[in-house]
Amino acid sequence: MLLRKILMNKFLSAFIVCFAFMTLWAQASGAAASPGNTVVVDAGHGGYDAGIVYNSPDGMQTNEKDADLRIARAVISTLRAAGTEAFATRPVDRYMDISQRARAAQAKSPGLFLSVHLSSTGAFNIYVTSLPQDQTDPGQFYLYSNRQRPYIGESRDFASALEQSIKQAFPNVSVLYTEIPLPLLDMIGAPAVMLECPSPAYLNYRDPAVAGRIAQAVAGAVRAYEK
Amino acid sequence: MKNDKRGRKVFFTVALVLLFAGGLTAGYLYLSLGTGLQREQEKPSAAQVAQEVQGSSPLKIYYPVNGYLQMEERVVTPMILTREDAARATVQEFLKGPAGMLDPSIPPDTRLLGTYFGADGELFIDLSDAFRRNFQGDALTEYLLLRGLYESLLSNVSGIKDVRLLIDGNEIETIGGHMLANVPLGRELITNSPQSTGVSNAANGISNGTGPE
Repeated sequence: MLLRKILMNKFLSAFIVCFAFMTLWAQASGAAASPGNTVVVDAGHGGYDAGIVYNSPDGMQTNEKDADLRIARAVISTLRAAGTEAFATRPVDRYMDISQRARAAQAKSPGLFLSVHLSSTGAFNIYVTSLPQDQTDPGQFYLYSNRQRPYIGESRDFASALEQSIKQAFPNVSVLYTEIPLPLLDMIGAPAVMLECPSPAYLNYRDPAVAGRIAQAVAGAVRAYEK
Repeated sequence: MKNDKRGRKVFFTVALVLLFAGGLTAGYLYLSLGTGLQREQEKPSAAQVAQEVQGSSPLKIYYPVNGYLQMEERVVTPMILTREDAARATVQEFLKGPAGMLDPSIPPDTRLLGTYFGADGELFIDLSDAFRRNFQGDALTEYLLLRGLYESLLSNVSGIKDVRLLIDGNEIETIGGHMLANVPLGRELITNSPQSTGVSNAANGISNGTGPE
């Protein structure tokens, strides 16, 4: 009788210890995989690919690659200051092809991916990729779209948070939402959005405050999305 | 009494002359307006022009214009006889850009270097490096540029399985840094019809500012 009681107590204690351990472990691993924990920011173009080149009336030239890099750096430092892990695919001015960018992003197991570009117009453009209809089409091999497919809903949620945040930060600037097939976003296994900021004809990217305002808006969107 | 009669006579004469003049004016206006409308209705399509002008062919060309694809009908000479002729003429007309546009999205100074059909029915379009070098635009501009070229070729050349792009004879990864250019264009550009209004329009190359919610 006593032996049975002792055994029962031992089993019960072992069960409680195992249960507590498993719960803590699951919580810890869940937190590590929670979306938005690691943000990868991709500055568009770079190296010999200048992107959009704008010559201002005062004779100054703005290259999209430089503005993209300035914004991406500001976003990363703003996110890091708020305690979010953030990485760049292209930390310096060098050319990277689309696949290299995707590989660099995937290596960080991102919870969110943001690609920064400039628009040809005075508006902010937010893009989410548009996926192929036929899931059995062998052509999907080219698009890597199966990687993005499970996250497309979350990508739209993040795009929505970004749209709201930018509208608040820049109330006088249009914000357009568009879905077109974008291979870089197709290749990302995480919520992925491309942000195009207004053309240099409308925003002066030589002023560091501009990149700072955009970065604050992006950080606000990341916080809103995580909630 | 006599004066009264004369007055009436003058009045009726003047009224008759005015009525006649009014009728003439109304008739003239009716005829001239009618002819104008008829002329408008009789304006021939590119296909009709092509039929009438011997040795010419009509083409439908899709140009990227302000975030949309805009179709224009063009008539080209000489007469298109083969699929290769049709592909060449289509690309050449596409590279000319839309009529009357000052700032077209088509990269300037691009030359068509050649076209050929692969064994599996894929059409290869070889363009000069200016197509990549002189491209200036965002993701939507690049998408519409490639989509416009693809749709134009599909509309005018029979039996195309897909379209592939070459620059100076080589495959290159991208034209403007947003889209892949080293995959068959049809596979890359044609996607499903997404759920929300903004999304649906965007898939056709139209952005209307509607959010994703």
